[in-house]
Amino acid sequence: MGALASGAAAMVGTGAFTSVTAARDIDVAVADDASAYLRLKGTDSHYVTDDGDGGTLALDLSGDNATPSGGSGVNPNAVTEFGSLFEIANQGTQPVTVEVTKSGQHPDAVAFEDGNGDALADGIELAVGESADISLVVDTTDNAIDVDEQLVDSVVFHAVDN
Amino acid sequence: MERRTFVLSAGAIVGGGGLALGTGAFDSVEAERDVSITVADDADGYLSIRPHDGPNGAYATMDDGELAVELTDDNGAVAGDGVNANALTGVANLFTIQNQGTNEVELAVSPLTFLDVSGSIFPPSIDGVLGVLLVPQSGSWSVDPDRGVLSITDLAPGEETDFSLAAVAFPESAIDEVEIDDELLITAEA
Repeated sequence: MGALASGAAAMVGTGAFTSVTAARDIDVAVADDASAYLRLKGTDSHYVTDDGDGGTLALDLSGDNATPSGGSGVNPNAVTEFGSLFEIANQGTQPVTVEVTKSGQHPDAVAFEDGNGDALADGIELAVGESADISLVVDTTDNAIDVDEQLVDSVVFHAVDN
Repeated sequence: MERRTFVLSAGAIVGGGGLALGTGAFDSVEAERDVSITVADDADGYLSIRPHDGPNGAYATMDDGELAVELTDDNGAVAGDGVNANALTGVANLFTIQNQGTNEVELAVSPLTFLDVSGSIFPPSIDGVLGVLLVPQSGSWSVDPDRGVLSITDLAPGEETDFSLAAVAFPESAIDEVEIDDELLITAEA
C-alpha cells in the first residue's frame, strides 16, 4: 500500500499530460455610451441630442436643433462657451489618456475643455473610475469663418492606456 | 490459560489463508488501492488558463475554477457594461495560458474570431455588427489552415502566452442588439 501511494504521488508530480482540451466561455456585449468602458454621458442640456443613455452621445448646435426661442447657431466673430455638456469617465481597468480629434470645415474653432480648462485635444488623464466634466468653447473670430458654415461634423474620442 | 488458547487458534486461521493464496485458486479478490487525482482550478491545472495578472485580467472571471472572458454587465469587477458602439476597443493582456506540465506542447485555440450580425444582407439593412478577435501576444503563433485553429507550437514547460482582445461594434443600433455568447476551445497536445 505504501509503495502504491508514493507511485500515485510521483505521477501527479511529473504532470506529464499528452492532451488537454478545455472549452471556455467568451461573452462580449455592446453597451450604450453611458455604461460602456469609455463612458460618454451627456448632461440635461438642450444642445445634447443624445445623452448616451440607450445610444451614442450626440451634440447638435445647428438650425436642426434650434432653441425654442429661435437660436440656431453660434454668433459670428464671437467666442461662445457652453458649460458642462457631457461627462467622460473611465469605466475600464487601466488609467487612460483621453483625446479628441475633430473633423469638419473649421475644427480649430471648436475646443473641448475639462473643469480645469485643460484642452481635450491635448489629452486628459483619467484614473480608473475618474470622470471629467466637459465644456465647449466655440471661437468664430477667425476671418476665414463665414456665416452658415458648419464648423465640425464629427469628433472621435481616443482613450489609450498611459 | 483461556487467553493462550485463543491466540493459537488465530494462528491456525492465518496459516490456512496463506495456503489458499499460494495455489492461486481464488474466486475473487477485492482490494482497495489509493489513486489520487485532484481537479485543480484552471490557474493551477497542468495547462494553466488564468486571468492576466495586469489590470486587464479583470475582464476575465474565474467561475467554479473555470476562466471566462466576460465583457458584459455580469462582470462586477469592471464598472463598464460592455464595449462602446461605433468604436474599436482593444483589451491588451486579458488572459494567460501557461504550460505547467513537463512536456513541450502544441497549443491550439479556436475560434479566433467571433461575429454577431443582426439584420439582413439583402436588402442591406444592418441593425448591428459585433466582431471580436483574439490575438496572442507572445510566442510564435500561426494559423493552421487544415484545422482552422490558431496554433502555438513548442510551448515549453513553464512557458506562457498572453492573449489580447479587439472588438469592433457598429452602428449605434448595435447597442444591446448584438452579443458574443460563445465558447473558446483550448487544446494542448504533447
